[in-house]
Amino acid sequence: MAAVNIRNVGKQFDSVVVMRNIDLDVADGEFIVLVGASGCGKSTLLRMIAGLEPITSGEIAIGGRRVNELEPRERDVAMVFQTYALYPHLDVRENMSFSLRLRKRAPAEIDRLVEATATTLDLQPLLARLPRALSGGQRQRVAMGRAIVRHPQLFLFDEPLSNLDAKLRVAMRTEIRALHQRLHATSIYVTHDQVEAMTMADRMVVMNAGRIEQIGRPLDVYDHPATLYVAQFIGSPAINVWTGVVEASSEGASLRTDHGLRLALPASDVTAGTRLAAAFRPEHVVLDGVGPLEARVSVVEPLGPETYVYLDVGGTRVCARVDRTQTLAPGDPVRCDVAASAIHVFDASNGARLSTTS
Amino acid sequence: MRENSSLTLVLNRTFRHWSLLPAVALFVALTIYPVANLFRMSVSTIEFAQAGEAWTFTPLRNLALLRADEVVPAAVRNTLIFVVAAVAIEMVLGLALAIIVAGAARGKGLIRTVMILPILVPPVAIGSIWKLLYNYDFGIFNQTLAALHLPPVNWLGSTSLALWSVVIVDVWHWVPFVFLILFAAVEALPVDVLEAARVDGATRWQLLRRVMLPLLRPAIVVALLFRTILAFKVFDEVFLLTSGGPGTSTELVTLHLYKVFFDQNQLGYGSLLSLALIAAIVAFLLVGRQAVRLARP
Amino acid sequence: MNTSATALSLPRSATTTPATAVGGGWIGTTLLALAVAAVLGPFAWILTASFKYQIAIYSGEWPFTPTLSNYAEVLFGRRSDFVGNVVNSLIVASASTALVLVVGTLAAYSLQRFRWPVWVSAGFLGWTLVFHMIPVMTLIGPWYVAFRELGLYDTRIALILTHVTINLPMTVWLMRAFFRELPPEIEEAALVDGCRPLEAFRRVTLPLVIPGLIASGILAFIFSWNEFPVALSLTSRDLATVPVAIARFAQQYEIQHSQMAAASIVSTIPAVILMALGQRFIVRGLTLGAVK
Repeated sequence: MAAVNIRNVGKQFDSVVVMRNIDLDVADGEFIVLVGASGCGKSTLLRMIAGLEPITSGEIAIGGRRVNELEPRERDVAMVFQTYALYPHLDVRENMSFSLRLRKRAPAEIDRLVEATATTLDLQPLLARLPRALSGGQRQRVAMGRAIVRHPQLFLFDEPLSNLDAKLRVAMRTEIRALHQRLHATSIYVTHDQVEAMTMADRMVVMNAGRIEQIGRPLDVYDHPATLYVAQFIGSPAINVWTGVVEASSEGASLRTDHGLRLALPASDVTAGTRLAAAFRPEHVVLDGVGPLEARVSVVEPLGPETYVYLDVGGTRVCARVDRTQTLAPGDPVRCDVAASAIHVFDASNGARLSTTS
Repeated sequence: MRENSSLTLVLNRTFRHWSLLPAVALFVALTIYPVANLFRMSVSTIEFAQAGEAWTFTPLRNLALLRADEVVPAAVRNTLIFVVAAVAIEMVLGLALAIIVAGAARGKGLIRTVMILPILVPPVAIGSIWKLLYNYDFGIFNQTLAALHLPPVNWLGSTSLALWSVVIVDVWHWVPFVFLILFAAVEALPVDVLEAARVDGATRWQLLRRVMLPLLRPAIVVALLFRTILAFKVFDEVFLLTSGGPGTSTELVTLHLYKVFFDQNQLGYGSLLSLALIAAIVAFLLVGRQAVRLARP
Repeated sequence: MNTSATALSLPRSATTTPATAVGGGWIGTTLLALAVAAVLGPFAWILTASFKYQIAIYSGEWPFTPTLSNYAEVLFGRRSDFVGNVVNSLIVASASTALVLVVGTLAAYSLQRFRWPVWVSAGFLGWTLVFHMIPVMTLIGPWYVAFRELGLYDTRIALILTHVTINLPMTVWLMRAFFRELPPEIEEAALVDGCRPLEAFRRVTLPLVIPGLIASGILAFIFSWNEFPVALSLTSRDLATVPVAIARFAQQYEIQHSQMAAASIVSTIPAVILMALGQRFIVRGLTLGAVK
């Protein structure tokens, strides 16, 4: 196993800079998830680590060894592709042993490794089959097996679950985590699905437009989004955002929103007159009947353990999480409040975080 | 693969560069250089002597030969008639056949197999087969006419009929090609769109005219273009059937070119004709490309 | 043949094909049968003619006494070189097919896989298209001169090289279409798994385009076997190929019609065999170039 160090990496297609100043250190045995919307550069970064995409500046090191100039095969990494990329002309056994045979390992050893991996992934009954005779889930497992069997320094996953149906995706998510806990292999995992990122990552890297927005443990990122982009990207249903101008008063700073609402802000050093964005999560909207904000229920979404209520607050839509015992119907008038301590404040012009909240 | 042999290493490193090299080399040596050479040859007279070939610079002589060559206008006229008539008939027959046969209850696999045959058989063999079919004394056509107590027809020997006999052979040869392209296109038509049109109340004729033909237009244009260009290239069958005769009644540009090169041994003048023909084809290509572009929805 | 009229009237949405919407079942089937007869008729007639004595062809007698003498005379007759022509054709077609597959596949892969500057790829592909459209007769003059200068006139090498050139555009376009259909990840997986670029090409990519190689190979072989004008112009009697030999039959002062029929039938054998073996590949190949 090995650590991965990415130093000041950038990439240019012709004259277009698609990625710049990427710095990332992955510890030995860590499970890192790169997450972001499509086109944010997460897959490109992964492919640069694999050696499938040339780097135009900076340095990538795997296990302390600079790999910029190395071919993919010399980097000792394994990769699971979104489309699985199984060799259609080889059966499952040959798919899994392909890399070992390329490395001229002893046949007996190859057999032993393939059998062991197949056992781990319940692939034994499928070993003689061709990929086209497998279901989507089975193909995904073979792709995993083909990576695991090599015991590489580093695992790379490029959206490996996005072609599976929802139920299987959740099951495989758990399984990959369990595998990682057993193998303790350094892994870099790319996904656009923030739930996958939250549930699987030791640390997640949120990317946007070729830059890293934030690196951190999932709950830290959730609780302390470094930018407005991260706040909006992470969390489902999405975080509520109000923009407006800061007003100072005797009780402390508050926000005069663009819709004419007033929202008390957490204590911070924002100066009056600043334009900013205040963001708060659905679970921090309190429907207590006495709050300062007047609202009307527009949509109710019961999910089972909890219920999300979409409120019309002075012309803006706010999502609130309420207990399932609370019976609300569209049209009901309610009063609500947002705990000032739970509000994240960002500079409205560049999305940078302005305050630290607990 | 031998590990670490330096040759393998170099081949791998430079794979992306040398992979295109053989094809480029071949094309430069056997197409680009010859075309360039055509220019030099077209202003020369080349004679083969014991010692080797003798080139003389005679641009005016070749032009004079062109002006004096009475076969050229006939060949151009025949070629144009041949191309327009053959391609038009092939397109109409091929399209009708594709649309109607696609509705056949059975036999679609069979017709696909059978239709490949004329495309793959040597054109020379097709020429020789039809030469026998057209034979004045015992060919199948005149035998049939005789059975019906009708006078025999001189299919290949009559100046008024020979070119049309050649057109018939070409139609027989190439309708299958048009059919195969358009049949594939018909079979690939989106069924839901056709069903939507039927639900909307389209009659069969309206369905054909307003929905299917517009959808087939790109395939039709492609088939038309392919056929037109291939029709210009025709040589083998006609060489066998009539060799341009009787007189110049079936003389085509390619046939005439062959005769100038190898019967009259006029390499220089032949090159001039070649260049003119290439220029005409390229001009047609440019126009055709525009047509394809306009046909795309 | 059961051509029930149900296909005409019953709206069975599950079986609506583009054509049941327009043409009817029995009309289509009848026309299909007619088309098949029209294509096969001349072959059938020439096939029977090849088993007739010359005199039986002239008299049109039916039934006739079949004979193999025409084939015997064509293949083994003292005055016939036909076996030699067949051998020549086989050598030229096999060698040119092997060569064009190597050269064309590499070029197609290179153009599809590597990021060549646009002027290289567009220039190459555009020129192949133009060359494919030009009558081959226009280049025979310069070829004749060049091969004479190189001492390659009237050699199989000249014929093989020209046939490779003639078939290269088709091979490149066809193989390129097949390479384009391959997801790039499969080859990337091979690179990550430990392949060198050439190895990934040979062990992973190439096996996946075997249908394309078969289609291109069959077509290249057939077109080389069939090729007439170049063979006619660049070879003498000794190296004549089958089409040239058939043309000579037709040009004799006293045409041996029954032998000409037999020779024509023999010349179609490779097409028939390869068609039977690789029909679905050929249809794909013939229509791919046209549709894409």
